[in-house]
Order: sequence, then structure tokens, then C-alpha cells
Amino acid sequence: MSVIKRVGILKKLSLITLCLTFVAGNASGEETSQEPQTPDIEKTEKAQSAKEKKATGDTDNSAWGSEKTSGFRLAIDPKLVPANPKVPSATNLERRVLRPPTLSAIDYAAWVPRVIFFPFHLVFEYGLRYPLGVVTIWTEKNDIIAKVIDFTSFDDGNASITPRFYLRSGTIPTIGLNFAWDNLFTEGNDYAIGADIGVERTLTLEAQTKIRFWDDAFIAKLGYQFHRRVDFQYYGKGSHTSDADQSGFFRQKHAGELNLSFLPNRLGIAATSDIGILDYRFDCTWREEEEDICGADGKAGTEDDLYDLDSLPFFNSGYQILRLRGHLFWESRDERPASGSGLRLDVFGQVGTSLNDKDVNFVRYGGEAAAFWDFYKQRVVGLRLRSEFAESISRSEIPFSELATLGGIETMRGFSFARFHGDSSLIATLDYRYPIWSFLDANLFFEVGNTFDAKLADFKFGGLRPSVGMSIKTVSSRYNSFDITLALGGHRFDDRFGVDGFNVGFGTNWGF
Amino acid sequence: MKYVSLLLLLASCAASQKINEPIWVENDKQPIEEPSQYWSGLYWDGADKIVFRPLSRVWLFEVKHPAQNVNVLEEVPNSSWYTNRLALAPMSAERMAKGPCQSSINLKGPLIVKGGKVNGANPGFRVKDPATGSNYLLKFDSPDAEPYRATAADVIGSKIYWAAGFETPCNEVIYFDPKILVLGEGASKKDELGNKTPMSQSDISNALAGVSKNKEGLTRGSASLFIDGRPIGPFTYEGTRSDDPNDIIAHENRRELRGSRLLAAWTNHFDAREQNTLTSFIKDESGKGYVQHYIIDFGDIFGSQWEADQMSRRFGHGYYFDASQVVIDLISLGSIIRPWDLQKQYDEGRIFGYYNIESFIPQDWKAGYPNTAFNFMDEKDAFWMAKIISRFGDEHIEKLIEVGKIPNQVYNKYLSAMLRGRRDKIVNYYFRRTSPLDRLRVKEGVICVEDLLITGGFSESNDAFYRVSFDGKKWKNPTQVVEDGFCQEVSNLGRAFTLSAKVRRADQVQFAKEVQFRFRYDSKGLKLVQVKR
Repeated sequence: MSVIKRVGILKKLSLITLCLTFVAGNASGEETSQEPQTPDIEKTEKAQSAKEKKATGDTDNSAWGSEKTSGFRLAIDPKLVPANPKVPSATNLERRVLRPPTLSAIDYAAWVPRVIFFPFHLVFEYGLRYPLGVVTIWTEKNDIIAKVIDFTSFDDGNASITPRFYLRSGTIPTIGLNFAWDNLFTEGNDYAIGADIGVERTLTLEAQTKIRFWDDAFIAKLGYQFHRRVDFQYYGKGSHTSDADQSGFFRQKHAGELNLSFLPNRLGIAATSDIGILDYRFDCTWREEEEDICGADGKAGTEDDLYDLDSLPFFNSGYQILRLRGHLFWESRDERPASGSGLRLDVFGQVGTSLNDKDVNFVRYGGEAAAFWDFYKQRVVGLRLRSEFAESISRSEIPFSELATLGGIETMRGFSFARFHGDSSLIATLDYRYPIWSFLDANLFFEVGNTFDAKLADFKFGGLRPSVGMSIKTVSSRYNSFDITLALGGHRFDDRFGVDGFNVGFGTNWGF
Repeated sequence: MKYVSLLLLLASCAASQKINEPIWVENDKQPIEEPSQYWSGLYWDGADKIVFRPLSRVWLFEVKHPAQNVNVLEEVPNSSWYTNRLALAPMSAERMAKGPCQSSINLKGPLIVKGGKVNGANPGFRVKDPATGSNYLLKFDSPDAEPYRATAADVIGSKIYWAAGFETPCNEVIYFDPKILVLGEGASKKDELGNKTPMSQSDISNALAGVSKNKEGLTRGSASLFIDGRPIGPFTYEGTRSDDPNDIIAHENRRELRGSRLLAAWTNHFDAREQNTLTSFIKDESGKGYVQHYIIDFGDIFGSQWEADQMSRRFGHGYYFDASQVVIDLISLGSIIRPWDLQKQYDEGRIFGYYNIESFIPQDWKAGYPNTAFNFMDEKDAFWMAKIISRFGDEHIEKLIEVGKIPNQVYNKYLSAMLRGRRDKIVNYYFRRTSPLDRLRVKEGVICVEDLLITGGFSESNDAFYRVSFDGKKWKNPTQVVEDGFCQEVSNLGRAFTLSAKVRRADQVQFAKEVQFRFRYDSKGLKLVQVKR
């Protein structure tokens, strides 16, 4: 028993000894395992260069606050802190992290999602970030973009070859090249040729020259365009069309045009006009054979034609016209950062007349009136009313491709491009536009509209269709913007309630 | 059970005793081999920080930790990154205005143009002064939009950052006759393609054609003395440099870099990115050396204006592209009034764009794109830097503005008012958010604690209520409330004790978070050994 007691006392003694040893160890650790203390600092100060010593005079240690009060000293004495120390070697590097991270429960808990989602990190880090970083840094470091621009441009940057793309929902994308040479013969005289190709015979060829005057406010442009696409759509004419009526066709266009435009740098009155010779050809080819306008057999004049092609004026024969167009508008708003409140009026018109013995003579005209209220810092509500009329001025009907249209990225945005054809059209739009970034606005819109018979003869409220959606718009000129739009279109109000169109659009937009 | 008791005893022994002496030198200047050059891409850095880094790192569920280069007194030791200047001691306004300059830059000429960037909005030249052998970078203003601002900003900013503790180049505003610029032999320029081509005298004339001049026709510019050592590229605000064995603390865990977010906010240094830093290798005779870290370019501070006004309005309030703000604004249909909606420019501060007080919210300030160190700043880092900023007195600010040499007193007054107002906003916010009790003075039996809000002139003394506690015991009133805080008698407390203190202002409902000061008696008397915030 006494032995056991002695063992117990020994244990207690050893405990106390151990504790004291531990404390002593800590105390000695303070002196040995850490950074140099005051004596070391003094040594360090002696070792400093003259320049470094000079730097110690950066601060005034003697006159700050009330430590001058008799008998007091600062708890942290700045004099103990050497400026610009350069400590000799032989300190253990590993001990210089003064405060190793202390792990909390959150650190441990974070390992659960970390392990679960680690594959995502691997994919983004090594599948995207790392390779992209290597390529981008290499590109930047070697000025690759500038060199590419230099390689594709000549004449001090006046001439250049640039790629171009055409992308619009529901249509065939194309890719092409543009070769432009500005100020070629005289200052302000530019030339350009371009070509785009896409699948299914899609082809565009362009050539143009222009002369710029008055700080580019006035531009005269002479150009030629060949355009061939197999992605045009037709749903019938008038206000009673349905999504089920979709059909498609091929269109080929030659156009030679002289265009004059006056777009001053300050907004106000502006105008564009052109005179052109155009040649149109159509056929049944469409990108989806079952839905081409000629039906499944792909031949016009057969029983399965989706439309009576004879009722589509000039579909079979095509037409060649001389066209004169004009567009005049007045904008009361100034460019940003001026207020977005104001008015805008647009009027436009065109006359087309046949260049041969075909009886093609028509006029198209219309306008838009818009009012905008900027109720707070570019948060703008807009109300617009637009109407367009297309009329034949001869005994023949107006070519079906010259009818008033709605749909696309500018009008009735819940429907695809030129979804509606008619002798007249009417659309009212309520917009709300608000900034979401320095260079981007969001735009919520609600539109009602449709195409109708001549001069809105069959117009009735129930014949209108709704279109609602949202766009992201670039903040550039009041004239136009690049938009990405997501919108839904509905049935006529007097029809059942439901969605009849869905459009994801991108491209340049005019106005608002 | 006995073993558990043993462990607890040991743990308590350790816990009660292990307080290290404060470390004042982070020994990171040990001789190393010269690291390789680091090249930082402007576009990639921005795209990475805004888009790709967040996309990749979000899956790692990173946890922020307190800064690591902090001693037991919550201060930052001196290092190749940082030198305690205003952090620990006062500085005269004259010394601050001198900044890192050993002597005033006096360029009488001739100056040999060795090369430079002659294209772009703000041209610059590298020149050598044969009289002293020193090399300088000359930079100029964009006179149409903001005459004097960029050069003044570059100079004043360098002094502010230097006084706060960072290393900066010696920058000064100079006026000189362009005739003293002499085209040097082999002088070259870099064009937009990155090609080096010979410079001509006309390059110099063209570059200087539109820059600011004074009434005497002398050209205004800022001269930046080349830093010592061999430049080896910028430092990053994240991670460590793998070829620098001295660099062992992740930069985002360095308190001075985290806290510099407040300096950037004060001056609106939205362009605080890695390209505006520099490291140089300082060699000794053996060829080995260490890496010294600099912050170098301050031309954007005090309201830089870009051509796109909508961008200029957002500087300091959002990243160049701020996905979270875009999404929130999109969803909220623009119903949230943003600070940039309220931005105003004043005639008396026209050259300073949107550098103002009313739209400045210190805690919401953002750089041009995410800066990892800034984003890791916690309240302790912020308090530490706010303490430094509070020590830029009005007389310092006036003196700093003098070195900007803006010849229009209306502009000078405006800048002075903005610097003072923004300083006060920062200090008031962070000193009230954490405890402003600091800077202790002791004598036998008495400890006095300063209330920095009072000593900085940010608060009246009679609006503060103090409470103290010893070793976690009952809270009580201090022995005496004095002009700049309070004093507490200490007796019969043993060889070591902890004084906890907290303060509540008249306009606050609750006391601010307490701060603990650990004291120990040694041979010299009462000694502060630890601060816990």
C-alpha cells in the first residue's frame, strides 16, 4: 500500500516537474525560437547601411499624443522597431509565418462540399482557366492581336481584311470576309468588297464605295449586292395566320443601289434615301424539305403545295424593279448621359416600278411615333405606335415579298423574322429600358400588333396579337443598338390564349 | 481520468504561459538566387479575376483566415513589403511630403531620352540625367479632360502609400523646358505591335505637343526615379512567388496588402492591380540578394475619367464588369438606386471627375476588378489600416497637396476637402465597428488607453462610455475618464493579467466589441505582451 502511495506521490511530483519543464520550455522558446528580440534588433541596427539608417529618421518618436505626460511610457515603443532591417541569414525560414492559420469547424466542414465538387474545380481549372490563361498570356506577351491586325491591314491601317459573321435565330449562319480600303483615292472615299457563305447554297457577295462628307455626317454610297438564301419563311398573308402554316422558300437577289444618308453626330433631323435596281428570284428550296412552300415533293404546282403559289404574286416568275426609298426621322433626345425623355418621329416610304413588261408597281409607306419618359437616370418608359402600308398602283397585285411585314428583332419580337405578311400592319409597343451595366441596358417590352388587309380594313382589337419579352441591349447611339432578345408571341386576342411564337434573336435594332 | 487531468493541466500551463515576444522584423531578406522575370498580362489578369478565377475557385469553398504576418500586438513587422512608419509613430508633414525621395528631383538638363512609349493618351519617356547618372520615367497629363490631375495624383499617391508603410518610387512634379530633352543614341520606342523602332526628335515633339504647360511655357510632368535593384516584374495579390524562398506567406494573407484596400478606397485607386506593382532584386556583393516589393503607379487616383462617362461613374463602386451587380440590376428591374446614379461633378473639382465624399461608402468600395488580398480584408486588417489613415492629419494633407503643384487653388481646396472627408468616413466607420481603444501608455500601477476616435478628432470625449474588466471578471467603470480615453489603476493583479475594455458612444445602442490587453511585469515594469481584438 505504501509503495502504491509512494508511486502516487512520485506521479504527482513528476506531473509538477513536467508542468514546470513545459512552462520553462515555453519561456525559453520565447527567447530562442522566435525572431530577434531587442538585442538582435540593436545588432541589426548596427549592421544597417548608412542609407537604411537615414530611413530610421522617417518618423518622429518623441512627440505624439499624451505620452509626454510625466512618468508614462508607450506600451509599444516605436524605437524598438528598426526601419528597413536587413537581417543576416541563418534563421529558420519555416518559423517566419508569424501566425499559422488556425483551423475552425468551418474549415473542416468545407471539406465535404470541396470533395464533392472537386471534379468541377478540375474541369474549370485545367480544362478552361489554365489553357485559356496560357494562350491569352502568350497572345498578349507577343502582341499577337496587334500583329494579326497588322498582317491583315495595309496602308497605315486604311486597308484591312476582317472576318464577319451573320447569326440570327431561325436562319442559316454564315461566315465571310470583308476587304475594305478607306481613303483610297481621296480622303473620305472608301471601298469594300465582302463575301459570306453558309450551308445550303447560302451566299452573299457585296461591293461598295462611299464618299463621306462633313465629318462623316453625310455619306453617299454606291453598292452592289448578290444575296442567296434558303431560309425565308412564309406563314400566309393577313391577320389570321397560324404557327402551323409555316413554310419556307428560297430567294435570290441582285441589287445595285445608290444610297444617300444624313446622320449628324448630334441627334435631330436625319434622313436616308436610296435608289436601286433589284432582281428577285424565288423557288421552293428550303432547308427543311417537308415544310418548303411547295410541299414534300419540292415541286411547285402540285397538290401538296402548302400555298397556292399562283396566289403568291411573282413567286414563280420573280421580278425586276427600280426602287426609290426614303426615311426621315426626328429625334428630340440627346445622346447619353442626357436624359432619355423625348419624342421621335419616323416616316418612310418607297416606290417600286418594274424594269420590264411585268406589271409591278407599288408603294410602301408608313411611320412611327414614339414618346419616351426617363423617370430616373436612364430608366426609360417608351410608348411607340407604328403602322405600314403596301399598295399596288397597277392592276397586278404587289409582289408577296414587298408586303408589309412584322416579326424579328425590331417588331413583334416574340415571332421570327417576317413572320407576318400583309397589306398593312399596325403595332403598339410599351417598352421599359433600364441600365444594368456601363455598356448594357435591359429592355422589357409588351407589343400588340398584326398585319391586316389594305389600309387596316379588317382591323379589330381582337385581331391583334401580343408579344412579350426581354432584351439585353448595348448602350451606344440613340439610333441603334445590338440586342439579344428572348420573347414569346401569342395568338390573336379573339383566339384562344396561348403561346404561338418563341424567338431568341440577336442583331442590331433601330430606335429606342 | 488521471491522464485526462494531466493533459488538461499541461494544456492550461501552456495556454497560460505561451505568449511570444512581439516580432518586429519579418526576416524575409535572406540572400537568395535571383528569381526569374514575371510577366503579367493586362487582359488576362482582368478576365481571370472577373470570370475564370471565380468559376474555378468557387468549388473549393475557400475559407478566409486572419492575416498571418501579424505579431502578438496585432501589428505588422517590417519586411521587404512593409516598413512601419505612420503605423507606430508620428511623422512631420514635411517628412511625409518628401516621401521616399532622398533629395528633391531637380532636372535642369540636358536629359538624355533613352526611349519610351510615345503612343497612347498619356505618353512617357525614359530619360537619364547625366549630371547625377539617375534614370527617370517622365509622364504627362491628358490636358483636355483633366489637366494636372494625373501627374499630381502619381506624386501625391506615392507619398501617401510610402507614409502608410509601402515602398514606392520617388515621384515629383516637375516643370521643364522641352529643349532640355536630347534624343539619346539608340533611343527606341515600342509601337502598338510591340516592335522596337528607333525614336526620332519628332516623336518627342509630337508627344509633348498637347501636354500641360504653365504660364511660362514650361512643360508639366511627373518624374519618377527608377527604383533600386533589377526589376523582375510585378508582385501578385495572391499566392507566393515560387522562386523566392523568402516569400512564404500567401500574399492574400498579408495584412498590409489586405488593408491597402482602405488606402485604395481613400484615394480611389481603383486601378490597384498587379501591373501597378513592381518587385526588384537587390543584390549584394556575392550576387545573391532579396526581392523588394513596390507599389508604383497612382495615375488613376483622385477621380480618373475615362471616355465612357458611365464607366467613370462606377469607379470605386463596382468592377469593370460586375456580374453580381448586373444580375441584381437585371432582376430588380432597375429599382435599386445605385451610387453611380447619384454621382455629381463639381466645377471646383472638375479635374477630379467623380472623386467625392457623398457617394463614397468605405465598406462597399471596389477596385476595377477583384483583388484577392482586398477581398480577404477582415475587420482587424481594416482597423489596422484605418488607424494609419487616421494619422494623416489635415496638415499632412495640405502639405501633400502642395507637392502636387496644381496651379489652381480652387482645385487644391477641393482635393483637400475630399481627402479629409473620405478619411473621416473611413475612420468613423471602422473605428466604430471595432474598438477604437489602442495606443496604451503605462506607468507603475496605471494603464491609460487612448480612444482613437477622440485623439483623431473624430468624436467628442464626453460621448463615450467605457467599461473595463480584469481577467474576465465583472465589468466596471474605469478608474478615471481622461481627455483622450481612460486610465485604469492596476494593483494586486499578480505577475500577469488581462485588461479587457470596451466602449459605447452616445449614438450606439451596444458596446463595440471588446479588446483585450495582456500585461506582464518584467524587470522594467509593466509590459504589454498581447493584444486581442
